[in-house]
Amino acid sequence: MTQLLSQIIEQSAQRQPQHVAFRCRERSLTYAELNEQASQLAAMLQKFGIEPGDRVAIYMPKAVEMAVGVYGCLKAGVIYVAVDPALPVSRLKCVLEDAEVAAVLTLDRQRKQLDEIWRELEAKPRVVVGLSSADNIDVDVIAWDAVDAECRFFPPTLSENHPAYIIYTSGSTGEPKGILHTHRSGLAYARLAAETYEVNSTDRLGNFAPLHFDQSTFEFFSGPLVGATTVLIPEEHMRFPASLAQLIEDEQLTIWYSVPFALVQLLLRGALETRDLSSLRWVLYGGEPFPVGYLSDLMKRLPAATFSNVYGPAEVNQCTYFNLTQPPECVNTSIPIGRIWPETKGLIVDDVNRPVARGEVGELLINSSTMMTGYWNRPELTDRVMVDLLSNGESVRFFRTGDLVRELDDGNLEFHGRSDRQIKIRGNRVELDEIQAVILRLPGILTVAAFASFDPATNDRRAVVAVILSEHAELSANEILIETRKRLPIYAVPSEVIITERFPQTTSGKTDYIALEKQFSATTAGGVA
Amino acid sequence: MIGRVYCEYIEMNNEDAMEDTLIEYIKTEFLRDESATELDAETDLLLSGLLDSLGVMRLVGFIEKQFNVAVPPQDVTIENFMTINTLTSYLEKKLAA
Repeated sequence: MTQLLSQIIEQSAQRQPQHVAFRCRERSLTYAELNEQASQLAAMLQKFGIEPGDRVAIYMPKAVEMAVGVYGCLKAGVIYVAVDPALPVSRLKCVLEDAEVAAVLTLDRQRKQLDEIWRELEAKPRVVVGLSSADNIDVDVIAWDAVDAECRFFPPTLSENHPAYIIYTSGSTGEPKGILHTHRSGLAYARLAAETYEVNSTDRLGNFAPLHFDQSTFEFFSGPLVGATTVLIPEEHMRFPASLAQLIEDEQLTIWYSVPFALVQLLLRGALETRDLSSLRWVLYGGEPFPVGYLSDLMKRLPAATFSNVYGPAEVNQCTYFNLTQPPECVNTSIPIGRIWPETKGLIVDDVNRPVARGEVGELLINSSTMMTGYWNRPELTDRVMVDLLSNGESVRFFRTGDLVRELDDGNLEFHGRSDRQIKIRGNRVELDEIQAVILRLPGILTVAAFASFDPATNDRRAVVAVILSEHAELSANEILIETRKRLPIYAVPSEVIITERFPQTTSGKTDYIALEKQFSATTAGGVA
Repeated sequence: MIGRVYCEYIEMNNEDAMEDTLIEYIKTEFLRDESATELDAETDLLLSGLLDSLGVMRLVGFIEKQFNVAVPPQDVTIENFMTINTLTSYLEKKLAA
């Protein structure tokens, strides 16, 4: 019986050693190669004294080494920390220190950023794997091709509840928070997703999501579980829909999973009329609602594909599913997030945790075999999002999704927004309060209000920030923007900073965000005000 | 003969001016820290993470307005947008057509 995520590739390597497991940038790894290289990496981590439960950062752009890194860590019982390779260095430092990583797995492309933060790191990792030379890095540096069969791997004894990986996400206080999953929760997700979407060994999965985005667990775990081939989509292709469409055709992808934004781009700018994408049999989207008009147009372009709305915060991986075989006919249709999937309990509650009447809007609480243990090193934060409630006479631990939903007559759930100030920009979770917290720390800022506004140019939400400067402060909007770019992930950087004299207020004296958005949306059509 | 040399000079000058305009635009719009990152015609715009997908769209919009040229979706590819050099040679071809 499979209990550990590392067994995924061990079993697939036994069943079909010569089948390609991962492909990226013209390079491929078969299951046998992946399994062997992952064992070698695990052995090397052991040689450097890295033990089960220690953290290791995977900090690289898309490359087959990413798969070796993931499975090498899992085999060694090490918790891998997926780090966005495009993070600004101050944020990178924050993540590496919060997780106290013992090693960094990387590629030469990240050298500049690593050099930049190396001196500032308070506790240094013991080893860096993946750089061709050490230069300023004053610990052991090993190139990928030096991770060879020299050391012997001793598989540690691990239970299914052993922690497996951490994914960092926005925290409303300005500090990112790490979502900790176990082998059990990761494997439960891998199995349920593979069953739900009927993934098999002949499938070719396109991995669009970066490793630090939880959608990637589908291609990194579910695909390999059934012996399918996963094609990692290079970052460059994500920005060029026409090149992406060509890649889907060239690689004959059969399953696609991404945020709607990527699919809308593919539809609008992918020059699809010049491509044959008939290999696609299943298109999954999640992270945010898909604009129905575009969804319908894309489904008409890809008539052979089933489309699925996937829902679930990273804390629970996934918890509902909804499949579409026919394009929605009316653009006013609301696409449900669907039904609760197997091994999962869902409750819709009011603000004192009482179940709402059927058909009423309430917050969705989830208990699932796929849910996280908690936030890394943040027990108080974990306590705030977890709640123990009686369900059928027994006490069950639920995760508060913060998402408002309503149960429809047919049993499907419909999404009704957030209960807090989290928004999604191109599928990424962005805490408006985090943007505020980061800007408030800059010198010369008296007060700040971040709000979401609709951007007609991209048909997407964007974050806008209004700022009141302290007396005598001489900051320009552009300077504030440059500072936020150094501190926030690229998707969370506001598209505009407005310097103003006063904010509209509600009758209780709080910032009136709705009035703020109205006041400034008229002036925000152009660039920086 | 003189006319030809003059012509070449103008062309080169245009390409240089185009290059400068693009560098300036990318610097002001996308650079995180003006002092830290060098940007020239050979900088790999994609590897350096300077442009995200929204950035590419904004850059295309800027090019279309600034150089009065239509850039169809099938031309917005990795090959054409790899560096400022590849971009200017694409635009030269486009403008000459």
